[in-house]
Amino acid sequence: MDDTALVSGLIEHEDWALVALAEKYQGPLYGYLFRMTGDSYLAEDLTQETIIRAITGIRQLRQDSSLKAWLYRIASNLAKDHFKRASSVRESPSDQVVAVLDGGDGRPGAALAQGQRGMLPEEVLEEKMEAARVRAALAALTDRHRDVLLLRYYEEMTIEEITEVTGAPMGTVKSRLHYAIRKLEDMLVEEEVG
Amino acid sequence: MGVQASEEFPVSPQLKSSLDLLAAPPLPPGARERLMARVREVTAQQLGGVQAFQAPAGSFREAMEAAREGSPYQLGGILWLVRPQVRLLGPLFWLISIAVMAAGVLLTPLTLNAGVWPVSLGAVLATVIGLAYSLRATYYNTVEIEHSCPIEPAQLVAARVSIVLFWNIILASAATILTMRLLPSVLLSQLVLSWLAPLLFLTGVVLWVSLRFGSVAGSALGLGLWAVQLVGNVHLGVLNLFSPAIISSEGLTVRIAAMGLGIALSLAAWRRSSRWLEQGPGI
Repeated sequence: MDDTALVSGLIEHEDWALVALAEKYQGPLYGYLFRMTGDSYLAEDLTQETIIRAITGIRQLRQDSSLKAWLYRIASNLAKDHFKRASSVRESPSDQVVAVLDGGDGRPGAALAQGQRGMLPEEVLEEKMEAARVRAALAALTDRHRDVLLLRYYEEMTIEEITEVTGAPMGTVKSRLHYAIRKLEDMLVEEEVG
Repeated sequence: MGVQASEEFPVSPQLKSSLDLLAAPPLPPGARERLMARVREVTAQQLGGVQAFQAPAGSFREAMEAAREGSPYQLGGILWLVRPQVRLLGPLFWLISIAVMAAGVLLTPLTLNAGVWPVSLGAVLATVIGLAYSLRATYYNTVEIEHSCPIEPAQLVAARVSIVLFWNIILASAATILTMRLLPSVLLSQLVLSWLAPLLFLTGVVLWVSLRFGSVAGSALGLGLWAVQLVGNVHLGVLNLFSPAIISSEGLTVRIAAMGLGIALSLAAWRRSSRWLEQGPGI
């Protein structure tokens, strides 16, 4: 559905617009926030908050602005706020082991569920360990670098869209993206070779 | 998954395979409903208690939302779906079934000594055709649209079969009362069994085959069995379910067994319907 019609429907508090918004953006926003936070409960809460803020402030969205970029901008800011608030809290090593075994999403049994798609338990564990390594490497990036990488790689946004989400100039976005990719290559690929 | 313009921002294959491991899980069950409820709550507070983002009363969406709140096999959810499904059947369905049943009542006194009664034939024929009509989406591509609804196919199947079955049982009961008025000598139990036994048996067969192999196969088999009962009524003996006369206890046993088998087939097909319809009808 066209986002312009969606925005009009949301302004009018139409039920179909809420349903369409949720169908179109709830899943992608949840995926983005899950990758940002590594916690599915938190990702769901932040997704809900993102959509509520977008709806309650829908009249502030300029006509020439993209709804998608606006939603991701809210989501990104909410995630950053969360990190700021939680910066003093550190995960204990035992938490990390539980996260790996549970698929990193905090929901018990996720690893077991994956095992049911025909993988051996050792393969599931190996894949989870590797995913945890990627998650750790992403967590080692600064918020700004991680954000552009996630938007570009997983959300498949254009540089223009990322510019709109982050509010940073195009040159800055490009340089952040170059840096994030190079840094991850250093951390993941070269570590593997070493 | 992965960045499209890789020429501008190249990612090595090793890094790509590592990043691809970080798949986001699907939305947790109930996340959509929790979001809707929270948005409605927050906007209602914001608007000073005025309800916003509510589905119009009596709409299909309202029915679907009520249905998906419960288990796909809960009676409440199915009953909620009956109302919009009734609209889906269209006036032709109701008119034809009434016409078939009325013809059965009118013709029965003229064929009193025949091996079968038109009132019984009519009740069963209307049911078989009704089932074929209500399950036609398993043949046409509309089933894909139904799959995109946030409700279980089992709920839709149960709702539609309930409509057809109960509508025809009501019509056949009315036809039975009229026939009893026209023919006071006929035994009520014999008349009821002469349509109820084949009706439940063929409902089970048609439903099972329609969901497993498509509605064309289901309705063809249903009509075929109906025709066999009609044409071969003299030769079928106790297996003639339409026979108005229950000569022996074997005849009664066959009818009870046919009803039991029909109910068992219906329940088995319904329980498996979600899985079968996801795989697609085997046509």
